[in-house]
Amino acid sequence: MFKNFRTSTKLLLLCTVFVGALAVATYGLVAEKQIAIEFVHKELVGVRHLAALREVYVALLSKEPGRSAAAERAMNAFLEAKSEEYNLPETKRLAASLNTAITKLASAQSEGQKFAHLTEALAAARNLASGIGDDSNLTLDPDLDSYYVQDIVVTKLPNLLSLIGELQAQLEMPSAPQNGGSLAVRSLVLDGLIRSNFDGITRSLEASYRTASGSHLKQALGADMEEMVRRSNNYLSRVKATLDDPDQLGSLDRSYAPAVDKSSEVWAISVTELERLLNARHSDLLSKLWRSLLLNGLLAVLSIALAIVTGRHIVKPLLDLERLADRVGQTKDYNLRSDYESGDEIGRVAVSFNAMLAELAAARERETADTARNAAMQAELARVARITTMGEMAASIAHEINQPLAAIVNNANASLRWLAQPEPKLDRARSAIERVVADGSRASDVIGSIRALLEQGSQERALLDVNDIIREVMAFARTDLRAHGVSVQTELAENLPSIVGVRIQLQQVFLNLIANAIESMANQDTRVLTIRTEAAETGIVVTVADTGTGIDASEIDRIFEAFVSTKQQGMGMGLSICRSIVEAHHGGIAALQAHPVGSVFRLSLPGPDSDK
Amino acid sequence: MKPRPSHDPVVFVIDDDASVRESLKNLLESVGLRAEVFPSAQAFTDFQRPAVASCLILDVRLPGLTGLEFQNDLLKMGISLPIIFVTGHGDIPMSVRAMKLGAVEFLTKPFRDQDLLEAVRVALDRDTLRRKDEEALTALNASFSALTEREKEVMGLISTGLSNKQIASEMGISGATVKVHRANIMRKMHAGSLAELIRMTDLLRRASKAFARTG
Repeated sequence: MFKNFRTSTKLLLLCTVFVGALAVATYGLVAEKQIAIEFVHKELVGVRHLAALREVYVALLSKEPGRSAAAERAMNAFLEAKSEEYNLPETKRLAASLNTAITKLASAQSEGQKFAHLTEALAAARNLASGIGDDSNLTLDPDLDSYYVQDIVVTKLPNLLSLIGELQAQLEMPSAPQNGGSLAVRSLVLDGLIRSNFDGITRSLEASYRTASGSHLKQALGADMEEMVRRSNNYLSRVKATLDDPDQLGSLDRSYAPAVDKSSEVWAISVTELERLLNARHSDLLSKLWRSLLLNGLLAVLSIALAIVTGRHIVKPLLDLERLADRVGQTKDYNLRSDYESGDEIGRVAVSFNAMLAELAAARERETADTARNAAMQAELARVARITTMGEMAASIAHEINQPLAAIVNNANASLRWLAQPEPKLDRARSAIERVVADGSRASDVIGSIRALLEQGSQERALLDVNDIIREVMAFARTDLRAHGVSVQTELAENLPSIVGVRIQLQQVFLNLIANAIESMANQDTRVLTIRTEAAETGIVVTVADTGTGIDASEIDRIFEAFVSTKQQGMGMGLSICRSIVEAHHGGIAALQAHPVGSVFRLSLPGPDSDK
Repeated sequence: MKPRPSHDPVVFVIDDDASVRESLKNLLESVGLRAEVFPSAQAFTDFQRPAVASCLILDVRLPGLTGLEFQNDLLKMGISLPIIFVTGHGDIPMSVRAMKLGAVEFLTKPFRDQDLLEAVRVALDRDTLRRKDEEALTALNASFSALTEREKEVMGLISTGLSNKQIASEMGISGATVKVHRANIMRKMHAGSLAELIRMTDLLRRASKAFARTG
């Protein structure tokens, strides 16, 4: 079935399949990129949350008098800023508990309550930070650059600030009921935790420096981070001094604020950096997506264009060749040529096609020349044959006239002698003269019939009775037939339809056939010539049958060709001329083997109605 | 005793054209010749010919065969009639062939009556002569067959020119016996002289050779 499709359809199918495959691949690519972009979007939401959470921390850790109210404001801002476009259940839950803790803190009266609610709020804030990280995929960040930065922002910095906040609170409110041993022990534990947190931050930071955007990060974060660590260490050394001498609390407070401020600043810078990294990744993904789409689109357009161009280069020249072949078939103009030029298969087909046309043109020229030559030869043969036939006719006429003339001369001489005798024999002389008169009439009759023949012997086409023509021809051939001992049977049908033809030409046909029959019967014991005419559906049929040697089966098809003779001394023109004449009369002639011996020539000639 | 009452010569005519045939008969009869006419060769051969001097006027074109072929046939049958050919359109090769086979004349129609009658005269003379020779030979044969075997042998030796003595020694008989044989031979052969006898022997030899050839 595919075989019968048009070439353009085949190309279209091929192109469609290719573009389809391209579309499927593009779809997969887009879906994958979409997932990654979505991932980044969610991370950015987390980053925004973390930025808002920093404000809460700043408020909670502030030494200002209205810090509770500031915390509440910051918390409200956080809750309001919270994006609704993503479902962040953990964040929602943890934010709610932070909110509760801050509300409680605001309404706390005693120092013990304040401390409890502050530490609760700090713990909730730290949990919220890691909850945001979980919900917003930040902790699953696939990119190493941003992975370490997010680790700092999501885990390390909230942890640090919570720990510092808790330590400061312990020192500020030593009277508050606390568990876990003495103040010194608890401070020492927190000190250790803060320092280990520093180590974690440093490790993450150093790891992030080794990433692709490490140098940028180092430039943006490095100095502030060192400053933060330095200030925090300063704060921790103040904490130790305060534990040894509670009067040192004032200098502790002085070192607390810079440490917290620097930490929150680092937080802000980190968040900015993280956002920058994520945005960079986002735009990178988008540009990759667009590049892929553009490339695939270009490929699709290119393949379609290529299919169209290929189609034009295959289908159009083929159609042109087909049209050319049709035109050659219709107009028979073998000088037409295809002007398509190309080095491909179709170009070679066009070249071969042109070569074939040239060959055809040459063959046709040769054929035309041959036909003209054959026609000229046929005409010449016909002329020679006509002269030959006329010569034979003249000999026959001479004989026909000579016979009565000879008799006349003899009888005249005889009567002279009868009369010259001493006793003239008058009765013998009279009877001899009577014979002279009879023979004279006979000679006159012959001449009369010749005149009639010559008058009829024009080349004009006329309505003819074939029976008449056969009778005339038999009159000429009679002597010849008798001389060769041939007995003749004529069976001429009555009411034979007339035919249109040239009398002398048809006479020649029958004379040739009779001469042929006489020759073929020369060495036979039985010599019978049968000429029969009969009416046929489309005209008349004449059969000339002899009892001669017949025609060899291998010769029967060639016998009408010029120069083919079954006789040893024949030129082989007689039958060829017969056929030419019969065909000029729109008739046909065929030779058949007769049974038991001899040959039959069957002529069919159309009636006047079927004459074209 | 003769099959025909007349000893007059006969002219045979074979021509398929009745007018021509009858006109020839008329012409021949007008000069006092007896003529027998036939439409075909077959009719002629079927006819019981009289043993008189005769000749044949033959049309070259005959129904069934040509006059030349018929001439050949007659020679083969041992019928040596002088033939005069007549033809509507003679050609030289045809006439040469006919003359070679012994035709007297080859005339083209229409011919002058003198030419035909002259040819007929020549032909009849030739046939008369031939008949005389034939009759003489017949007589000679009759005489020769009357000889005894011994006499025939002696006659043969005489014709070679041997003397009586030589013949006697050749045959182992006496000279007197040879003389008796010789006298008998001369009488029986009606020979007037030795020269005549020798000529007779010669004739007989030639005839027998001709016979052997035709046989």
